[in-house]
Amino acid sequence: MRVNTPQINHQTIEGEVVVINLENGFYYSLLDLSAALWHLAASGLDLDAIVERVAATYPDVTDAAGATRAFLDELVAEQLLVDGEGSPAPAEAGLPTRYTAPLLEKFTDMQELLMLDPIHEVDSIGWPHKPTGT
Amino acid sequence: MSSAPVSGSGRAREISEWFGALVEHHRATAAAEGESMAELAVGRVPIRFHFAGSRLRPFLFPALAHHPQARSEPAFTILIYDSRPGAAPVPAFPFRLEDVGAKGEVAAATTESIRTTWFIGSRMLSVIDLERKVAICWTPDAATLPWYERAAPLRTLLHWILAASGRNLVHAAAVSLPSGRGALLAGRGGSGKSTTAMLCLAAGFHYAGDDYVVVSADQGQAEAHSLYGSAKLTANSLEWLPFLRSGVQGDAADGEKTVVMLGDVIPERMVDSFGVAALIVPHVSAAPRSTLRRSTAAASLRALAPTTIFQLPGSSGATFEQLASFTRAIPAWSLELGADRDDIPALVAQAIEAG
Repeated sequence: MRVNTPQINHQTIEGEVVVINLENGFYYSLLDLSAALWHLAASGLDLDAIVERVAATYPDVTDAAGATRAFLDELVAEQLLVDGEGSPAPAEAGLPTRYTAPLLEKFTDMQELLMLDPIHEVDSIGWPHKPTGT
Repeated sequence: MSSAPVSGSGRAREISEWFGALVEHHRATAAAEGESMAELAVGRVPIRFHFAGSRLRPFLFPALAHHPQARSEPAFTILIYDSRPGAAPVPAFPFRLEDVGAKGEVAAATTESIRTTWFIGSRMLSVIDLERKVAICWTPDAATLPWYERAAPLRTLLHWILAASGRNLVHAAAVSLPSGRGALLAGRGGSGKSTTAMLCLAAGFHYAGDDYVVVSADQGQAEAHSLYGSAKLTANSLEWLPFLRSGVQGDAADGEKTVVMLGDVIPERMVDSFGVAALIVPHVSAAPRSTLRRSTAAASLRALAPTTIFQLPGSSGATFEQLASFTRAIPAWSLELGADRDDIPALVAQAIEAG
């Protein structure tokens, strides 16, 4: 998999990954294990391999593999990741020692802003354009 | 977001020729109706504002008039004009209404060097040629401009010009202490940043903007720069700041808010640029008291970047990256705005002084 560029952009600051969808206004926050999973998936690592690595790293956690699979599926469903060759993961892309349930925190408040955009809520009086056929 | 710009040399040439025709149309309008110019340093970028005719300047210039005079050759010139009845028609647009995107962007009239927006609500055309260093603002009739174009004039063109000069126009408020260091207040509309800025102004802070400001990070020095000398005030804000009543723009109002040109009323309290010592994200809270706590740079980025990017045509992944770089360099704070707001200016000052 790879990050769905150019519409999806991401930045990592102090361990938190902030992902933004430039097309629809959604943006996301990923922390702890979620951030590590993002880096691994964005690096092109096979999703099945990521799930296996999580299961091996946290053998005492019930259904860590299932939660990870659901999380990765959500990244794909949100179209943050698509098929393709990824970029190398940053050095800190290993899995954290402590398990935290993976979570994709999604923010939708920009959708309201886009829908309220006033520029399309009026008519087109005064619109200058070429006559049809020119 | 905009789709890909036009490709093909023939189409690009047509767009370039249209731009040239607009420049000539502005020149002819200036010859027929007179002209005026101002050269201002906006975010330390020298820009020439060249008005043809006299109708648009009273609407678009007051919110910019507080900027210092430019001291060097303009980096860009903005040609600004409208059309009086009976004047030669504006050169026909090389795009259709259906080509206009959600933020006004027009990919069909965008090339490697030319960017175009058409704002349907204000009927305002903004075009820039980044190679020629010339931008054009045209509207059919100055008298029909909505209030928001007067409170935040030429926003798209200034966004492009400042981006070309290594600055970012951001959706944020900015206030500073008389010592010269200050805070950026980030957050979407309704987060409380304007209220916080006005409370700080009432407490003696200096003011760079309540809605849109410019940020830069030259040589690692994070700075905020004023963009507009306007402020949108609630009835509460006018009670806190009664001396601003004389600057109220009579017909400029946004529902419950009133637009005031602070540059006219309190020019001594307007600050052009200052070092940013804190990035504060306010939140309206039901708590009785206001509280300040340290936050994360990622939270700052989430408060600053989306609301900026989705308001400004042509913003991109590069904008996101630049804002991430900017937020990494500044101590981050969260400010819960409680019912008792007397402490808010002191909390903002505390964050600034801690930075």
